[in-house]
Amino acid sequence: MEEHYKFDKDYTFTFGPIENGNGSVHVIEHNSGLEDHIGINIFDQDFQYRSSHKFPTVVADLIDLAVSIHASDRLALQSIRYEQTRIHVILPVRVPEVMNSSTFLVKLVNLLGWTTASQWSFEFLKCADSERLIERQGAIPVIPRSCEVALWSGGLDALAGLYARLASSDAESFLLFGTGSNNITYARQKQVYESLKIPYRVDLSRIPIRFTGSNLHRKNKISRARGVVFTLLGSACAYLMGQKTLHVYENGIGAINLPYRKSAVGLEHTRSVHPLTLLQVSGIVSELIGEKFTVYNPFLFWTKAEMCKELAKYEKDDLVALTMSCDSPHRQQPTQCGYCSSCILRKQALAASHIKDKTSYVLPSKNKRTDDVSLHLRHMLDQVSTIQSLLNVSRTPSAQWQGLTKQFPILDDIVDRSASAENLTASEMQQKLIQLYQSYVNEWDNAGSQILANFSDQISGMPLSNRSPITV
Amino acid sequence: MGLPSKKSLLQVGDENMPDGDIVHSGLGRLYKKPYEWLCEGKATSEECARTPLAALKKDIIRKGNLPVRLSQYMAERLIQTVNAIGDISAVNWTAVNTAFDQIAQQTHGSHALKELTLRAAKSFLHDLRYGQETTISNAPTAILKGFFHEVYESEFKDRIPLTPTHHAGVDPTILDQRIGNIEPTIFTAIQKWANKAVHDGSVKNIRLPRREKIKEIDLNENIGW
Repeated sequence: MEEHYKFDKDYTFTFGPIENGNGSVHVIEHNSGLEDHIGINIFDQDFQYRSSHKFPTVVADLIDLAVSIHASDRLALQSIRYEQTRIHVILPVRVPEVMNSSTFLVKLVNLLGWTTASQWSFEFLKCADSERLIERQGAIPVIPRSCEVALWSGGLDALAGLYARLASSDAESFLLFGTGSNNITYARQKQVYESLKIPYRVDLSRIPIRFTGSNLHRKNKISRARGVVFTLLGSACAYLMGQKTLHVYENGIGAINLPYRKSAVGLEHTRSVHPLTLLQVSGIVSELIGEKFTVYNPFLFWTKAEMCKELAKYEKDDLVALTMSCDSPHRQQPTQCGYCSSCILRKQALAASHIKDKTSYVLPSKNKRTDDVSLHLRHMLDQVSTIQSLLNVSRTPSAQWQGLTKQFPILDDIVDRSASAENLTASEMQQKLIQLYQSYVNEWDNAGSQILANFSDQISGMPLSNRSPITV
Repeated sequence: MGLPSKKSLLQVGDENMPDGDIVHSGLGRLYKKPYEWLCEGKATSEECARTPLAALKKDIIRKGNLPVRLSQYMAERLIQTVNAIGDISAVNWTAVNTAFDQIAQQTHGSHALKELTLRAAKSFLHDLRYGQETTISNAPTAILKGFFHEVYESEFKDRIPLTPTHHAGVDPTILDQRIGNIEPTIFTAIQKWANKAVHDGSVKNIRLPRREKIKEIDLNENIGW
C-alpha cells in the first residue's frame, strides 16, 4: 500500500539568528497546523578563551548548526518503529555557500538519518550581522601549548578516560568541554571537574543551550541527536583552541552498543558516540572548516572496566560516586536507578576493576518491586551469552570474526570504514575488536555474581539466558 | 500520514529512556497466542507452527511493500556491481555496504522496516563475502527471505520474555525445543513467501501452506490399538 502525503514535511523549524538572549525558533507542525514560537539561546561566554583573536565565522556557523539540531530534535516528535518524521530546518548563517553545497548537505543529512531515524533537510540563509557578544568581543588569549580537548559529560567514562589520558597523552594541558540544556547535568559537570583538583593542567569549558517558553510544547522523548550536538560543539571548542582533534572518552562496548537481542532494531540502541557517528562528524567539520578535523575515541578497544582500572591506579575511587551514568535518573535521591543498562554496565565495570562502588542507586537501596527491574540485566546477559558462544566456536580469529559479523554485521562496517582512521589494517582492527568482546565476556564471568546479588529477588532460580547460560 | 501519536512514541510494555537503550519486555499482541500455544504444547508441531505462521503472515502484510522494493533495489545494485567486475571475490564490500545504506537512507518509510531490510541485505552480503554463498542470481529472493526471517526473530523468537518460567509453567529449555521443532515448517513457508512476493512485487497475496491432509482410515486396515 502506497502512502500519500498531504505535506512533504512534518515539521518546519525557522530559526532566527542564534543569540545569547533573544533567539527564537518558529515551529510549524504541518499535519496539525499548529504553530509555536519558542526561545532558544546559547551561553557561549566560555569561548572567549581561545587561541585566535578573531572568532572564525565558520565556527560560529558550526555552533548555530548544533543549536538548531538540538532544538529541532527536542521539539519534533520522532518515532523509531513507525513512519519517519520529516524535519525541515531553515537557519540563517554567516557563510551559507559552504553549508548549502551538496557535499556538505549530503553528509549532514546522512549523519542525522543515521543517528535520529528521521529525514532531515536544511536551508541555510544569509544572516545579517550576528548579535552574539562573543563574536564582537576580543579573545582572552590562551597560552599556546599542546592541549587535548575532550568531551566532559560528568559520566564515569569521561572521568576514567581523563585519568588514563593524563598518564598516556603528550598533551601539556586538557580542556574538558561540557554542554546540554539540563541543569542537573550541567551542575554535575562542574562538580566532578572541581573534585579533580588538577587546576593547572585541566580546565573546564561549558556552553549550555537553553529553551524558554517551551513548557507547553510536547517534546521528543527519545533524543538521539544528543551525541551529534555534543560532538559538533566540542569540535568548535577544539578548533577555537587551535586543535584539529576532539577527543571522546567512551568505552568500546558502550560506543558500539550492539543490540542485546534481535528484538532491538536500529536506533533502539543509541548511536551517540558510535565509531561511524564520530567518523561522520569528523567529515562534516572537516568540510566546513576546509581542513582535516578528527573526532577521536582513544578507548574504542577498551572495556569500561579497563578504563576504570586507570582510576584505581590514581587512587581516585572516591570520585566515582560523583559521576552519573544513569539513563533514567530519578528526581529524588538516590537519582541513579541501578537497573538500566548504563547503570548495570557501570556496576559491572566497577566490580570487574575491583573499585568499591559507593554510588547510591535506587536498586538495591530501596525496594522497587513494581517494575521488572531485571529486564535490562536479562537482556545484557543474553547478549553476553551470545557473544561468548560466537567466540567459543573457534580459536581462530578469522572464524571468530565470521561468527561475530554474521550476528552483528555492523562490526564489518566499522572495520571497513574506520580502520584507516585508526591507523590499523582491517585484520588488526578485527583482532582488537575480538579482544574487546572477549575481555567483556571474561569480566562478566569474573564479576557478574556481584551484579546478580543486587537482583537476587528478581532472578533467583532462572537460567539467565535462553541460550547457553553464562557462568556467574 | 499523521504525526506519530504519543502512544506510538512510548509503546506499551517498552522501557523508554531519553538516550538510553529501548528494551522490549515481551511479545506484541499478534504473537501472544502463538507463544501461549507453544507453551501449552497441546497441539501437534504442524498446528503449533501454523499459529506463529499466521501471525507472521499478518504482520508481514501489515508491514507493507517497502521491504520488497528495498530488497529489489539492493539486489539490483549488488548484481550490477558484481557483473561489472565479473568476480565476486573482487567486490569492494565497503562500497556495496555504503550503497545499501544510501538506498535505505534515501527511501522514506519506517526506520525499523528499513533497518530489518538492511540487516537481511547485509547478512546476504556477509555470506557472499565469506564464501557461504556463491551466487547472486537469487539475490532479490534471498534478501527478502532474510527480511521475513528478521521479522520472525525480532517480533517473535527474540521477543519471547527471558523468564525462568514461561506461560503454563513451561521451562525455557522445553520452549526452545518446541520452537526448534516448528522452525523447519516456518522457514519453508518463508522461502515460498519470498518467491511469491518477489514474483508479484508485493506481499499482499502470500498464503499459509496447505494443511497436511489427515489420512483417512481404511475400514479394512488394522489400526491395532
